[in-house]
Amino acid sequence: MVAVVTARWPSRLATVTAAGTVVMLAASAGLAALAPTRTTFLNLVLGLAIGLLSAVLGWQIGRRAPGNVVGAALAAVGFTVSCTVTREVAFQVLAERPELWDDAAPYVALVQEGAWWVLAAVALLLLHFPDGRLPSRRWRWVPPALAVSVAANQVYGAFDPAPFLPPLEDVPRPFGAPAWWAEVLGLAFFPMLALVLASAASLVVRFRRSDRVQRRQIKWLAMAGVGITSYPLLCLLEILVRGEPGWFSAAVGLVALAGIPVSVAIAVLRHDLIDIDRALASAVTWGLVSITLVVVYAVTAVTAGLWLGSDSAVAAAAATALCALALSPLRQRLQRLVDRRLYPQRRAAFEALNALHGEVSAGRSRPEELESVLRTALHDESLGVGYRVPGEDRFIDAAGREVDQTRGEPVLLSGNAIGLVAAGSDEISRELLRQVAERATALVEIVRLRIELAQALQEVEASRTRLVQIGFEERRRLEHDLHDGAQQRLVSLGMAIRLAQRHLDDGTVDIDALMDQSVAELGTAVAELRQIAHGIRPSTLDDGLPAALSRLVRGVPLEVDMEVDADTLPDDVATTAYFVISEALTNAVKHAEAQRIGLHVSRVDGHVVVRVTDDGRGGAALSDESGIADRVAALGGSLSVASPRGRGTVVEAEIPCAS
Amino acid sequence: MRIVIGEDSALFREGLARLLEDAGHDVVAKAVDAIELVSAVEAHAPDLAIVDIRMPPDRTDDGARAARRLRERSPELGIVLLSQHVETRHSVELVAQGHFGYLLKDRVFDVDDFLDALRRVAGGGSALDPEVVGTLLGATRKNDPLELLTPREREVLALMAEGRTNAGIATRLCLTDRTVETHVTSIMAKLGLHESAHEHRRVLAVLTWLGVRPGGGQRVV
Repeated sequence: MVAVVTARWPSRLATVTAAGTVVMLAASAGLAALAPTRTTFLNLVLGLAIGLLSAVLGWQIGRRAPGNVVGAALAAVGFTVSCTVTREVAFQVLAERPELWDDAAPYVALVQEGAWWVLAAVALLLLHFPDGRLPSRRWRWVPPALAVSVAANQVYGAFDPAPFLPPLEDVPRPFGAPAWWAEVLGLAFFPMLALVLASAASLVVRFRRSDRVQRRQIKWLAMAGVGITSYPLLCLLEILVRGEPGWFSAAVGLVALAGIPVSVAIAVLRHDLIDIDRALASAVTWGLVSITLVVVYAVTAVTAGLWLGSDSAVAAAAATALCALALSPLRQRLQRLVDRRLYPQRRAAFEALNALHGEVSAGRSRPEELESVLRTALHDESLGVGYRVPGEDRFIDAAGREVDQTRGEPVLLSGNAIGLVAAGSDEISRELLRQVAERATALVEIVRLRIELAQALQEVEASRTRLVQIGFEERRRLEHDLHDGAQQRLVSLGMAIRLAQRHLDDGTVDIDALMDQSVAELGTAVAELRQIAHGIRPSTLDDGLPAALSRLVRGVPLEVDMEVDADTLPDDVATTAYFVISEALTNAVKHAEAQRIGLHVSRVDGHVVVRVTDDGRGGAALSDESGIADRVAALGGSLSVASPRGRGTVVEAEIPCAS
Repeated sequence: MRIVIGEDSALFREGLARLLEDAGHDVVAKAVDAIELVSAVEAHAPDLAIVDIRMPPDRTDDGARAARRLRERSPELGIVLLSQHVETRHSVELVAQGHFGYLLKDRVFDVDDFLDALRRVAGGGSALDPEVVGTLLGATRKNDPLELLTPREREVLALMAEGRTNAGIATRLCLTDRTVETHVTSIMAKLGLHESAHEHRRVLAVLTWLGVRPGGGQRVV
């Protein structure tokens, strides 16, 4: 077996870089104490929100996905941000201490263009996201080229003759006019920008080529991108309302920025946290709604303002009302549009479900087509829809086959799982399955009821057929018994008497013996007839079930504990109970090797409960041919046989009995 | 007559043998199942075989099947099937070839009539049980020409179908031979049948008219 060696360096690099970030942020916090201005405070907040968050998440990725460079790249973003923050805070401190300017000027010049490293770190992150590898080998020269061009740009920044950025615009440039080579280095700005843009574009290339998981990961990053674009919109809105950007857009902007490292971390570590397709579609929809509303508000406010004068409360109210009116239909329409572009599976599935609902209501389709409809809509030929039928733990499809539950989501009806929708491939997210299951509840319930009904009908039909068959068999047996037994005997007797008659004259017949023999034959024939009649309906039942059972038990060669509490029963109930008991006793005597038999008949809530127990070897099963179960079922009752091997048998019948 | 009996019930078999021997017949073999019956008939070549329909080994219609096999081998052998109950399938099928009788077992009680039927069959005629004939006559038809018959003629028709000769019918109904002949002529005319001197042909004609195709199953009944 080949050991898969995971490179440790990306993990270590992430740890070191994260530690560096913490050090830099601690330093900037220390410096901030020297110049506690509003700008310093803002810088610190930015540093903590983005720098520290990126570093910590980068470190986490490094720990949990050790071979993935993305952790180190994210930590590098944190580190470069924290460096920039420290620089800004240091500039604030320096601005208030002009006595230090001469000494500090070369250093200030050197870091003047240093913030580009943040962009470089972000570009590296984008290049390696999400699996830590470049999109292809052709991209391998991009990272070094990027580093070289950023470094060149920074060197040029040190010699740039333009004044330093505020608040150090009054600090003199230390190096004078740039030499020719520094001018050349300044040209590195353009390739640097191109390389950063290329890195961003690499994500598009990667998305096109990637599998489902990677696509989902990239969508997480796209999600953060949507957040970032919402920032300028909110600024615009606040400018419209209050005349200047306020804390709300600032907070949203900060959260959006912080969202980037969070998205990266989730994409790498927990990309299946939620249905990102759905989230992205919603985010884009709401983003578009916001843009449209801002535009509508702006246009209305400005137009109304021209008529009614600016700052008019009426203008603001009119704009607000118009926006509110537009909101709901706009959102629905946009959601459909966005779904079609970004979330085709969900849309297709929902449309198919709606169409099927309509077709079923109109009687043009059968609800059982649900499975094939979903298969077509979701392009999953092995998708299964299972239904739970009472008395079964498993889910069966419309054709009665069991459905694999592995990738299934339950269809719930008042908290009970009445069915499930199971994907055949993992192309379909759990969340989507959940939503499909939710929308299909009514159809699933209809199909489930239909299956249940069909099964019940089938059982009734089978039972009826068996009853007819049993009736037929019984008649045949009776006919045989009559022809071969009593009738045969009577015919022979008749012939014997006729024969004797013909020999009366010659004195060869012993009349006495003939009469004795004839009467004996008649007696046997009568006994046979009685036995046959008893098989049709035990005549002992005339004295009631208890008496009949006492007679029945007398013929059983085992000890029987009898407890019968059922005096006046309808004839059909008593007869059926009698046959159940007779069959159970016969089985116990013949097959169970039992020592002791318990026989209980009682009346419970309008039912007669018959229970025959034995201590035999068990293993008995109900055979269809016995017809006993069908007889009981014909009276609306139920029969059960519990017979675990080696632990006796319990036959129990419950027969409804109104009187 | 030399007779072979095929009957599984010992009581009935021995009684029947005694009855036949008393009447001067020669019971050459007594078989207890269908297989034994076939070999006994082949061994003894009797004039008549009296066969119980329901016999071992299957206890269904083994006797009737054995009879059919015997008929294929010896067309001249008289065969009388005995049954506990009326069924027209075997009777009508076998009656076509003549030399055949089908009777309920309790016909034995009327010993003379029973012996007469045996004699008829052995002589090439037929003997259909009155119950079977009753069933055939009782079947309802559209525009039933039987309605045209007088009650007496219906009685005569029934006896004809049983396979009886004119003389037999006359004895049975206590009529003169001439009266019976008149009735027969009238019946044949009313039903549109051709008269035939041979009783067996007459039975066939009557049965055919009754909607039963001897040898090919039944249409009516």
